[in-house]
Amino acid sequence: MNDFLFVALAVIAALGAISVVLCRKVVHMAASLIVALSSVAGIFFSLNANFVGATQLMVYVGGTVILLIFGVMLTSMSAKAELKTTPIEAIAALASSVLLLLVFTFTVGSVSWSEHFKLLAGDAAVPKNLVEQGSSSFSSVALALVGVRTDQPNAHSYLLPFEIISIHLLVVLVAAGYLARPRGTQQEADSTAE
Amino acid sequence: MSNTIAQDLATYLAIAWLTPLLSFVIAIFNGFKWGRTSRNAAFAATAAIATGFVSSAIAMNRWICEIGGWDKLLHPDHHEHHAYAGVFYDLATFGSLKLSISYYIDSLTLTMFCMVTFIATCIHIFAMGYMSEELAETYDDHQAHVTRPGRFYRFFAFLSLFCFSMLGLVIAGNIFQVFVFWELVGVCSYLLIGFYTERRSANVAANKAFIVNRVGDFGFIIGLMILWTYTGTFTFSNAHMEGAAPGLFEIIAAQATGASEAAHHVAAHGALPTVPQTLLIIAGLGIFAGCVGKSAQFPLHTWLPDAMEGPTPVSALVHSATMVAAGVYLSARFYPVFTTEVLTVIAYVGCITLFVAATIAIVATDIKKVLAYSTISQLGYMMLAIGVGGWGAGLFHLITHAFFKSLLFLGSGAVIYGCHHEQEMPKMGGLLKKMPVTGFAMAVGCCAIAGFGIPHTNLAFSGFFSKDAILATALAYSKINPSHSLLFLAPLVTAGITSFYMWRLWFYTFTGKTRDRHVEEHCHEVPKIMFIPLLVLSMLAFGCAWGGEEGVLYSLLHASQPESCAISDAGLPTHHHIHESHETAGVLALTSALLGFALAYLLYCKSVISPAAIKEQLKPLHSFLVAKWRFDELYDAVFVWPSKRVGGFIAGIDRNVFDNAIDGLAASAVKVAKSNRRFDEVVVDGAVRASGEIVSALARTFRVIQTGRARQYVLFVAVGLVLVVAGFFGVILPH
Amino acid sequence: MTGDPLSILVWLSAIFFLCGFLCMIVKRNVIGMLIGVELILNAANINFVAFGQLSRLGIDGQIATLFVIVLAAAEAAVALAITLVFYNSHSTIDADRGESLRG
Repeated sequence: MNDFLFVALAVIAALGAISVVLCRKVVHMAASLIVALSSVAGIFFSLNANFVGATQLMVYVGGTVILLIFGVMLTSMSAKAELKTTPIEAIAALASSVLLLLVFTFTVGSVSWSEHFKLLAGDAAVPKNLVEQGSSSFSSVALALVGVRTDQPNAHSYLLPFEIISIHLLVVLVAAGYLARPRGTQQEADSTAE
Repeated sequence: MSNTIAQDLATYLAIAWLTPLLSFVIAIFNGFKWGRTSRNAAFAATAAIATGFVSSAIAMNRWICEIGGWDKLLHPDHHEHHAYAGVFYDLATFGSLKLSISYYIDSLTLTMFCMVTFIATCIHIFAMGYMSEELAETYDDHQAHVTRPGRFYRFFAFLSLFCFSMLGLVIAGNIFQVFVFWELVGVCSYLLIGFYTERRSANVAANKAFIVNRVGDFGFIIGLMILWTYTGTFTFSNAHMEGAAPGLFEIIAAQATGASEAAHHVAAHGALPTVPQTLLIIAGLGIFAGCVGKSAQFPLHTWLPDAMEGPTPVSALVHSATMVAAGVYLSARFYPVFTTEVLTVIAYVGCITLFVAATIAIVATDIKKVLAYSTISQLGYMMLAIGVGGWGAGLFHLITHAFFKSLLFLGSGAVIYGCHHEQEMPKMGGLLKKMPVTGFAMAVGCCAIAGFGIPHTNLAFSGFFSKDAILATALAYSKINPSHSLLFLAPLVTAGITSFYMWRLWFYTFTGKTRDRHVEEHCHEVPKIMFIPLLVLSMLAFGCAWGGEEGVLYSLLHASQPESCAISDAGLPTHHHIHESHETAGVLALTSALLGFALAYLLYCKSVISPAAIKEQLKPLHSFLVAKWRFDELYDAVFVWPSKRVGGFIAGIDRNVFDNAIDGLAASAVKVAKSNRRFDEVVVDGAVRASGEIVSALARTFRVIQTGRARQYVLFVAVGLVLVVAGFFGVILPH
Repeated sequence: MTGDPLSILVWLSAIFFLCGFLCMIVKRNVIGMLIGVELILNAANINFVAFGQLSRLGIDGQIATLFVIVLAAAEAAVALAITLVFYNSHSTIDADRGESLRG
């Protein structure tokens, strides 16, 4: 059952991603993206990565995609004419993606992943994976971010990266606000400064 | 006590010596800044040399006080040297060879200092007037037919340098220093003879003086090397100072006198070196060769008459009074080193010189040439005196000659100046009315050089005493050595000839009728600045030898008379001998001089006998004398022509062999350079240009893919990724 | 193409990446390109979580994923701001119009 749900979510996510490519309109693309990202969030939940799944739902689906839709709404006022792709571009894209697919087939397909894990399992010192442990990793992830490791007491914590990334996010958002401000305001500011 | 007086004397004389150098430096570096019309250089030079005279006089006074006053000087108790030697500054030490600037001061040094500085002062003052035509932005040289800037300051700078060199030569305490200043004096002489560089004759004369002197200096160097090789020292003497290493004179003296004194030295300094007798003779001859060159003795006398190309003050100072006397001075200094053989050579060289030069002077018509030959002749007297053992007499004549010859030269300079650079006596005549002061001064000079005086009294010209002393010594010598009686007869005859040609000069110039109206019209008396030195010098020319051999001057010189290393030989006369022959010699010399005067008076003043008639009758002899005994032709044929031929031959080898070889080398170098250039242009430049082209072509190619479209960049990234993976797995990993 | 979850997830990640890549190339709309970028970032996320959870690497994979999500949010914010500026100056959101960097 769990396996079935897992496979179903994977299929839905793949279809969502493909439909993003195939859709012409940006709003449709955004909708397909929501489907794909939500399915990925479901996969995360099924992998016992609750914290990441929740963040995926909240930030991506709830934040980023909404942000994209805002962008669509802000910029598509006068864009009546659809932006069409030229056939040459399409052919080039197709050819290059086929090439990339070949690469993936060669790299991903040539590895037997389960065999590797079986080899690793023979080593008693290595702890079992988190799915097999069955317990939720929610609290240990959350604590690791604020500096306390409960799963592996001797491992590094992520407090400093966490702080850096938060400040980075702040700076980026302020910069984005500055970049996207209306033109007139800047001119007024310049004239007053002069 | 002895130390302090040595230091005092050294200090005073060093001041006298170095002030002219200071003035030279100042004049050379400031002359151009002062300008062509500034007299500053003359003032600096004159002030410097006058300072030198004052300083020398102070030193002289100090010395006389030291020996116990004038009475002690005139009546010495016993023969005692008051000589002082020391070192100013050590230049370098090479093993046992020690080069230093040192001093050797005795009464001779002091007298020379006073004489040189005094005469130089007079001549500097005279030259201020004589050279005043150079005080102009443009000076017309009528002889060379050019117009050039005036060179007033340069003249005085050179005069200062000359005084410095001459005084350095006199004060020197070792032969090395003597040699250095000897050459420096030669350089000054060269510069001053060639002062009118635009005149070809002046250039030739300057070169001749320099080259002829080189011949003598070659001998000088040989003598110097022999002495140094065997004695290991350059120093003259330790002046009997305790603890000082023995100088040349002590070494030679010890060798000559034998064991008794040598034993004393051995106790103090270990065994003294000795010089083999043959080499000692060669060394003496070598050093005398240097003196022959500098003092224009036969056979190297030919340069001095030509040296009259320089300005007349130069002729007076450099080529009659002081520099040419340097040779005599050095011969006197080295008297202790000369052996009997060398002294004989010196005497004969002097004898030949005095006669030859006097005969040439009879026929010379250029006023300065006459004086030049008389200078050579008088220098011959001095050499003769030294050669026959009359050390004091020779130097006595050196000093008196310096005074009256500078007087005569300045007088001739005044005549030349007054007659606007006319030097030919046949164009002059009757100048006494126009130039009374000059005429009077010249007359005093002529009396002095002719040696007029009244025997048995002090009323005589300086030349009388000195020439008398020389002739007395020569007579004594020829009495002892009858085979050398020529050494007395030649100077005796020449005393008459001297008197003749000097009075010929005077009568020619100052009496008689005007021969050239043009000269006579423009003739005028010289300004005060020029005739005051004349008067001062004429007083000294008359009275500097007051008292004769009992007088101050002779006593001063006699006080430093050295012992000859040849004194043990019976050849040289003693004081006793000389005194005996004094009477005879004096009367004979005076008679000879008066005869010469009378002949000149009859020929040139009263014209009782026509000189032209005599000239006609003795035509071969006359032309022989006018051609200066054909010495120049002889030297041309023997030395100059062969060297020119050899030079021409070598020049031919140079042109045909070496030049061709070098031309060939140069041509091949050009060829190599050309091929190098081609290599450069084709290969190196080509490589550089090609690399540039490649870069540029690549840039043009890759420019195409810089489309500026972000989406295409993504495509390229993907393609690049595929290529990298394919390359990695397909090409690199299999190997 | 076996049933084991890890290879399924790796393949899913590959599909996401290819879709994102195609999106970036094909869409002339700037926002379409941004959506492609989001897909590619998500492909990376899937891999992080898959290897973190299904191997024995612990929670590090999850934390890396969290950072990626945050960075993606920041990127989206800045990219949208740039898009707005681009739109204001060019009056279009056609990515091909912005070619002033052409060589």
